[in-house]
Amino acid sequence: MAVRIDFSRCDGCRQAKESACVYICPGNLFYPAENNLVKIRDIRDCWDCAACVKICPKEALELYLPVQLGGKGATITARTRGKGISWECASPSGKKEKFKIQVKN
Amino acid sequence: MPSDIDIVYLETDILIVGGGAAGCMAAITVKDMAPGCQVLIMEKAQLERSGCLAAGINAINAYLNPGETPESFLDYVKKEAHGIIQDELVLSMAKELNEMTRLLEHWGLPIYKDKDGNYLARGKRSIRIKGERIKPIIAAQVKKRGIPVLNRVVATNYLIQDGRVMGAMGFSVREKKFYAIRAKATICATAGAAGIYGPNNPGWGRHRTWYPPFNTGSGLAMGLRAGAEMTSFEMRFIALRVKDTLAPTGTVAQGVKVSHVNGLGEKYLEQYRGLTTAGRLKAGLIEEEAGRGPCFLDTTQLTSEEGNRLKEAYLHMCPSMVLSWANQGIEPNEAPLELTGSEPYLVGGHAMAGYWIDEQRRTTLPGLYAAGEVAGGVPKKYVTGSMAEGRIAALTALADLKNLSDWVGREQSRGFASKETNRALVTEENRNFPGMVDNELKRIFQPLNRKFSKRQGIGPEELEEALQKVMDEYAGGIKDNYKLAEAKLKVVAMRLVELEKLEEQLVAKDLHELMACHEVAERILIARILVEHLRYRKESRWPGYQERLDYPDTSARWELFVNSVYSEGANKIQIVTRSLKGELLDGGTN
Repeated sequence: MAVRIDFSRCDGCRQAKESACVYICPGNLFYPAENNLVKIRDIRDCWDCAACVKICPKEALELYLPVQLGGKGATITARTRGKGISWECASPSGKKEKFKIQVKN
Repeated sequence: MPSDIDIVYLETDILIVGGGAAGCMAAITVKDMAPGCQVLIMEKAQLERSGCLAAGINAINAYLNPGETPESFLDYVKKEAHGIIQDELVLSMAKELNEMTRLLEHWGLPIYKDKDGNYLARGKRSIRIKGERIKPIIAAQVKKRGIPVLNRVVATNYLIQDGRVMGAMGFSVREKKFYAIRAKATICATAGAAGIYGPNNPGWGRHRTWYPPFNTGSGLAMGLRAGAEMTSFEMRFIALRVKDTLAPTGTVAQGVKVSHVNGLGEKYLEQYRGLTTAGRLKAGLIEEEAGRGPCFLDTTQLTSEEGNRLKEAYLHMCPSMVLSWANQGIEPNEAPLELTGSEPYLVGGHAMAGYWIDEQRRTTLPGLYAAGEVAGGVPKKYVTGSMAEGRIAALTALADLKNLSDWVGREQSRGFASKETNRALVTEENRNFPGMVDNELKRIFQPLNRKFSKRQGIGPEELEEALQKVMDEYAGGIKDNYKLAEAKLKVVAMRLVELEKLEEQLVAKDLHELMACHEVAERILIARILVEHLRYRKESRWPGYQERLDYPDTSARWELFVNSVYSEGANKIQIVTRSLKGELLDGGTN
């Protein structure tokens, strides 16, 4: 239900055979589009698993909540490096919270 | 027949349909126990992040902490299933739970520990983990063993010969390819079914479900069409979750006491003793109906450190919950969490809908085994239990194959090689199952090739909405507080038959929609079977999950399994009952 692509960062993984988000999405929701970009088929079909957010090499994807579920502009981004993941949650007020967690031994 | 489809024939010893926790463990077991045995996984998505574990999890909920035994686990499960349990099925899984946990840790899963190095218990049967990456960790073990995986290939039907399952067929959602995979043994390890009922949130929030919306029960539908006996569809699973985000509630109770309170601030659970999971859901519904809703999890007593820990735990599994607090501009201890029941799901991992299996995880169809969410009669298996079942199914398949090949070898040496039941294993002429493959090829791609005017063609989304609407309105959906009665069930049974006829008008504009067409058709079939199960059990066995307005009491007469067998040719559903020992009782047709 809600992931957003930042097209100023997304390059469609042009060096790779397949864009990372197209490769990983469990719902098959991304597809390659013109100009080395990717598109989302129907944003309403997203489960919020964040698999794409975690795998994107350009950190071009973010999670948000639709208005219906209380969304007012907060976003979550993630960066996977080695055995860890760094989360950043930005509130509508501009407050930023970071979580760095080791997720593999 | 469509001419632009690339037809791929493959052969393997053991085919695994579905690459979640159960399927991966089955494949790993085959490779570790019999390195020479060929195994292949058919996966609808991408193994690295597919199935229930795609987002990650923050606890292992089937682990025997010190003091717990397989027998005490059985006692717990029996209580949770309100007595409808075959002991040996649960025990065989329970014995493997800790070994599966040990394996996960060995593969790199971080588990929280106390200062003495013991796992940090979250409850008697639960430990806390940093499980955001659990699925990639499991998938890496499959990759390490060189096990081939067909990613983005949707399974649609089994290959069957002389009553024996001989593999499966399916199609790619990425290229116009049809697969017919011939196997000596097939293990079904696909998911349960979401999306049979309408989701909690409409429109933009429709997929903020607890159970993955991509789990559509295809393995159940394949089994039904092949005539496998199914069990306990009427024990639906309805999760008690955080409203809107559908975030899990168990996460909150991490060694801290968090009360359930009603809209008046009263601790409504305290009047009950020893409630089951279904009972806790029901208790909240009682409060709602008495005008004392909504109910909450009172997080206001958490310290800020506990609040932070809670955010971290949710990031492992359900980041939407953290987003929810950020949107409100509050910390977890600044407001209680409102609770809700989820849409009803059909799952064998929490509840027990699925294939009727024996202790070795054989289904009623020769050559077919089941593990995980689709294996019926074994609730509370969660991740480790699903893995345990994957292992058991793989070991059984290996043992059966060995016996079978010994047998075939023996028969051949005695000149009986053409014996009818084993011909498929030893002769060449039938290797590609010509009739079956042609029919399936035509059936699968039909929605892509149909030429309808806009008025006559129906998209999969439209049919899905129709299915969810009638199930919600007549088969105990959220709006009815999940309650059931024959008069309404009879209506929905007819409506579903009408919807089934509309499948002939389904149109798909691309391969993704083609997948959606098959998913909705599969869910309509599953819904039909579910409704017959709900009609047959004339008592209220699991209030919350299954409660009849016309039969409000629990009756000793109904201490039995309600099972079903579907006949595709006649399009008929036969209900049969079995004792708690698994013996066939009387059969009845609805």
